Amino acid sequence: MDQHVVAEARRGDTGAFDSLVVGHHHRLFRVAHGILRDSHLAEDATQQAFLDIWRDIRRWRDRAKFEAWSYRVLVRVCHAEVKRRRDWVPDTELLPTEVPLASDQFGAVVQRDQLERGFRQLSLDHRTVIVLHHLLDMTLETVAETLDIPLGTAHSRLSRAMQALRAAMQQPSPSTSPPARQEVAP
Amino acid sequence: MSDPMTPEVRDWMRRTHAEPPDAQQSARQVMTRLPEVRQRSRWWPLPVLYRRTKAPTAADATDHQSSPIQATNGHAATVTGRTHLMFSPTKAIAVGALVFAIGGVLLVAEPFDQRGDSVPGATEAGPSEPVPFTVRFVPAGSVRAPVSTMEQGVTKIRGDCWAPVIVDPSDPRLAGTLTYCADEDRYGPVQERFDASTDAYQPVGEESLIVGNDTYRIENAQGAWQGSSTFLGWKDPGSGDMLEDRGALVLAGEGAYEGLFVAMTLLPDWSDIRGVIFDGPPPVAPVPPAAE
Repeated sequence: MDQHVVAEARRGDTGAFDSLVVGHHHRLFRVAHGILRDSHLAEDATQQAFLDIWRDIRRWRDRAKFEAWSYRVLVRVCHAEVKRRRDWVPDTELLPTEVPLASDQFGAVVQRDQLERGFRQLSLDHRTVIVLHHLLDMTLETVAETLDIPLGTAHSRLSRAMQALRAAMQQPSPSTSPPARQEVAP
Repeated sequence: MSDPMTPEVRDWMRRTHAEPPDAQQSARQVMTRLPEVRQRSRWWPLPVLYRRTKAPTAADATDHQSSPIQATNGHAATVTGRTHLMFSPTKAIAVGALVFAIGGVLLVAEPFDQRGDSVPGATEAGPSEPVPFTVRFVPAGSVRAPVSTMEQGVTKIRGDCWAPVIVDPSDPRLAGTLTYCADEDRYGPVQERFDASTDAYQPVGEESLIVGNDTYRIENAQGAWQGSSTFLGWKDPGSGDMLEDRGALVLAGEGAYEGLFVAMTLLPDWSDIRGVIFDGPPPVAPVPPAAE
């Protein structure tokens, strides 16, 4: 996003801010969904992040990129959203079961399910590093800079998160055989 | 990338990526809620507070600490807060007397019966009508870097000058270049902490207090305006926000603006400045009657 629009938004131009929201929405939503694993929650967090950005944009010091700052705001909102909704359950999408799954496909589904479970057990800090590094392909240096954490912290968070995911993958799945097609009574 | 799970994790993240909602619709929802959001203004227009100044070292602090007070009852004495008054009645009386004396000298130099408006033949033109105006100042580049020292627990910042940009002056006489200089003393445990959410250095400490004086000078091809004000900043114990009080600022005209004055209100972030350009000086600060 060009500097001009950000500068205009900083001066209170709502039209410019509207352009910012449209231009950056998908980027922030992608990260929010990656962290929260819930579409509705991610959209709520994204919108709240934009409202927080509007609230603080005049305070924000123009020495870092807008993108990096917006990620920081979003991550903070994600923390707040999760804290606010302790009883939150991610709306993981279920695969259609009309078609029987081959064993390799089933294995992939089981693997994804284990990853999903493992990921949900991670702290938001660990999730954030994984999302920025593995989903957005940020280098760890950029992750550290974006989150304003030391590079060593970024490394250790990623390492621990991957360890936790590996442990989750090694746990036996609740279901170890392909699901049988449900017989529907006429 | 050496972790063997990396490809699996990346693949899983991409495959489970959710389709984002329509950005336009989301933007509309955000914009609908925007009026409910109170924008946090830049709590302090002085860019110096957002910048890393040379933090006083522990040695600085200990070097300037006063000697411990010897307890006479065997208990260890604990000194909290300041140990001397900021306000000195003697100094205040001396300054008042000085102002009074200067006024008297000026009066002697130009007695009433020789003033221009009473000289025969002088034009009887009255003062021009006050002209209200609006303007904004936007903080911008540094002109002179400050020097920060610590004396007896007070951080003194001196010589800081900036060149804020004058935006949208409704009166062309206020257009031009602005130079803003400020000296300030910071009391209490004022330290700066990086706040990632605002990407700025924010002061921390329970008893943060800032007292300062600043000078504004606007210059253009016709002349200049200059004046000073005193500001006060303190940390709100409830919200933790830094609050400030700036009152009003009066600038005196020079060059083509000689004899004109500008009085303006100052909001914390220099937004929506309102004021008036008027003819003649404002009244001199009154001197209270001496106590019986």
